[in-house]
Amino acid sequence: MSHRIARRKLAYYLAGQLQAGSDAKELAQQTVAYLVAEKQVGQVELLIREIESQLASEFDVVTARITTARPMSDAVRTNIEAFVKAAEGARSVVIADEATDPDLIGGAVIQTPGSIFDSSIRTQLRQLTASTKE
Amino acid sequence: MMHITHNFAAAEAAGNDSLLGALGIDLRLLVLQIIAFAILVWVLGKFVYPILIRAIDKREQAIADSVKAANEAEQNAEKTQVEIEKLFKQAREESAAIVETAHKEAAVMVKDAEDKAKKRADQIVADARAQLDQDVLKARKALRDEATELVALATEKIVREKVDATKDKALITNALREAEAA
Repeated sequence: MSHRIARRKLAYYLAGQLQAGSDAKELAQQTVAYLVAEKQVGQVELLIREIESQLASEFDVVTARITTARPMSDAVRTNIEAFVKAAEGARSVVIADEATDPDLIGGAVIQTPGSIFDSSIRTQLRQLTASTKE
Repeated sequence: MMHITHNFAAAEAAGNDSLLGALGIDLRLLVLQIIAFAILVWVLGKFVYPILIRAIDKREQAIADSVKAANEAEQNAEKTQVEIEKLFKQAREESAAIVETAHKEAAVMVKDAEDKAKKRADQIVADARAQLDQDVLKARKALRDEATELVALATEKIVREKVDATKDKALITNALREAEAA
């Protein structure tokens, strides 16, 4: 007989395990198996967001999703990590996802659980266009 | 009766030699004639004259009544004529008043209609002007938006061509630095 665990508690447990250095792949497999068994597959995105939130609030670890127009160099990645760490006041930063979107033209979009930093040229052009139209 | 009287008178005249006889007048015959006349007068006064007088009085009364009736009828006719004249006058005055009122009401109605038409026309003109102004503004805005879009597209194209990896790196670094400074 299965027992459903609250999403927040599960996220806290997984965040702790990740911080403790457990194998991320194995944790992911176990978590997915649990969600399938509990018919909670649709909660995956929410669970990931909750884990990120728990990491930030309980362990001072900020996860970031970064989108750039071109593949990032190591120097840019280091700069971004330093920027996020300083901006969020985190002990460490984990880059959860790196995506490339040529439509950005230039600059970067950095998403953390609590904020979005968008310095892409596409967004700046859109803002300029919108302000001109007003 | 007259034959007897003449015979008596002739007999009496033959034996009478008085003055009256010299004058050819027979006194007895005269007396008899006076008596006969008196009788005639009496008979007439007793039996004929009253009837005639009553008839005359009746006729006179009838004539007087007729005259009176005629006078009354004439007076009534005059009164009626006056009344008719008065009614005609009143009718003319009333008709004149009605016509005048109708003229005034018609004038008011025409003026109201003109005012309404003018107001409506002014409103139509004002609406048309407002609509025209709005269309002009809309067209200007559409034109400006289109120009802005074109400028943005051109800018994007130029920037896309100009930005390479090196510039992109510098761009990100500067943006992070500015954000930290802010």
